[in-house]
Amino acid sequence: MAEQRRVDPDPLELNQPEVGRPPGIFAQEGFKSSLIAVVSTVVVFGGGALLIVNSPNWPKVRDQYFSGEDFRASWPKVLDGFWVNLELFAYSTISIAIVALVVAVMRSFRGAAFFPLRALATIYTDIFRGIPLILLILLIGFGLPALDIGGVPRSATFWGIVALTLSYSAYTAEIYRSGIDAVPESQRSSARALGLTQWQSLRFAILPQAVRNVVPALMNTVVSLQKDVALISILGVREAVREAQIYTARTFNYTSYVVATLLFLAISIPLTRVVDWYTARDRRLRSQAPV
Amino acid sequence: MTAKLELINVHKSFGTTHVLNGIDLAVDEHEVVCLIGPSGCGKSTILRCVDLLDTIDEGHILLDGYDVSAKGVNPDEVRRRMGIVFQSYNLFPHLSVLDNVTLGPRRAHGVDKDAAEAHAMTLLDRFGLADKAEDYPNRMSGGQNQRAAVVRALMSDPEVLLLDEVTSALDPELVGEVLSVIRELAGAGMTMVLATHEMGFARDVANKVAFLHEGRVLEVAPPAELFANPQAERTQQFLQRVTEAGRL
Repeated sequence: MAEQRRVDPDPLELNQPEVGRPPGIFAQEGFKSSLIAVVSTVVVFGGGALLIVNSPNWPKVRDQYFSGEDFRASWPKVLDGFWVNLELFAYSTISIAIVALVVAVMRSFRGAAFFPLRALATIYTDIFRGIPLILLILLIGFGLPALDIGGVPRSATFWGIVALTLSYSAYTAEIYRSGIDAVPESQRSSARALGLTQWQSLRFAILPQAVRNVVPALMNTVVSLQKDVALISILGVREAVREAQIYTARTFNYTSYVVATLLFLAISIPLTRVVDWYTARDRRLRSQAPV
Repeated sequence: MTAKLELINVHKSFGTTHVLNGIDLAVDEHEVVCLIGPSGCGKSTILRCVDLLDTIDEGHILLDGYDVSAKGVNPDEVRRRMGIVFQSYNLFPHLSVLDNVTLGPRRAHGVDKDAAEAHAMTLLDRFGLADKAEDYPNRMSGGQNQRAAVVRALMSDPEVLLLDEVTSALDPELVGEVLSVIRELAGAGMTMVLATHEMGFARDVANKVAFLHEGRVLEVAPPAELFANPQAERTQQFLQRVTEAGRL
């Protein structure tokens, strides 16, 4: 049939060259769109750069923020400080993960007998989600060591981690809880039907599924925590931002802030890439899984 | 002789909906009782209440003559003596079949890992699932999932097995494999209560069939009697509809 039709002086034949475009045109269109992408990028960013460089005070600002000499001079101290940031980040990540899970589990217990637990967890999240992090750091970081309770550390680092943990665990507990709520009720029924207690059902049947549900959301919280650790500088802890401030105060040059910025980016950008990669992979695996 | 399981005037409502309006039912040891009736008549709720997954508002549930629905009874203790299989299998998706079926014995009964796994392999083998032990539920067919769920319920050597429309979620060609499992259990003397839409199967395997309507047991009789000669008008209507639909 098709053979014959091609022989016929079919009006359709006139359209054929247009319908079946040769691949060369597609390649050209691909080239065209990448050309547009490159040109528009150059125009936007180049235009922005030109605007900055040609601004009346650019030479002054350049020396103030991007001085090579000051970069070298402030680098060692700021880097030393940044190690403190990473340390604080590591400790608070661990304590937040634990406290948040405890709070979320407390909120997930059913039955009248557990009302006090649920109420406590609810009050906890309400209060600590409601206070701006910077206020919490100031109140706890300066207030609690002043009490001078025996056996409790007085260091600003310790209380800074406590403040971060209180605030972040309140948020993170809600993330866990959304993961727990997303596990179908029937899973809880079948766990209880096996004779598992409420705690065992949560521990072995519900939580493993719940945590898997929220890993991307948890990882986003980690990225945000990595930066918020810098807020502890207001307690006088000599981490990267504090060191940068000290350098600035001495030299009236702000390059040290750029140093600190670059150090934070060096961690947060790869971390963000990992989160994106994991999220995409997780979505792909789940959509593939047959029911 | 006291019945293995007895429900006396059981009431249950969810909000303003009265699902169970005074259920009376007795199940003797080694007896298979099928609950039939239209959707929403309370079949699943009865099973959930017997397993104490839902608490009843009024009445009594007796296991070996002992009131397990009374206040102060530890529901975990009671559940360990019963097994329940749900319509949608409800296997744990993050655990392999072997871990699914050994979770209850290991955590709730304190059986050690090796003993639990040995017992599990015997049962999996009996139901043709030995080669699926390491597989995850989402990699298996519905029939395999449901058979694994039956094995999970059998792991604690339950005194009573509750089956809640266990074939309703299955493709037609997979129903047979699950029904043959139940038939085998019935032959082995397992005390069972089944909620089912499979009338042919109920007639075949049940010692007693209970017809439920609006939260009451309207009629209980051996299958030959109930299917051939239903007494209540509602039962007659229901069976006629089922027959017309070609399901009997």
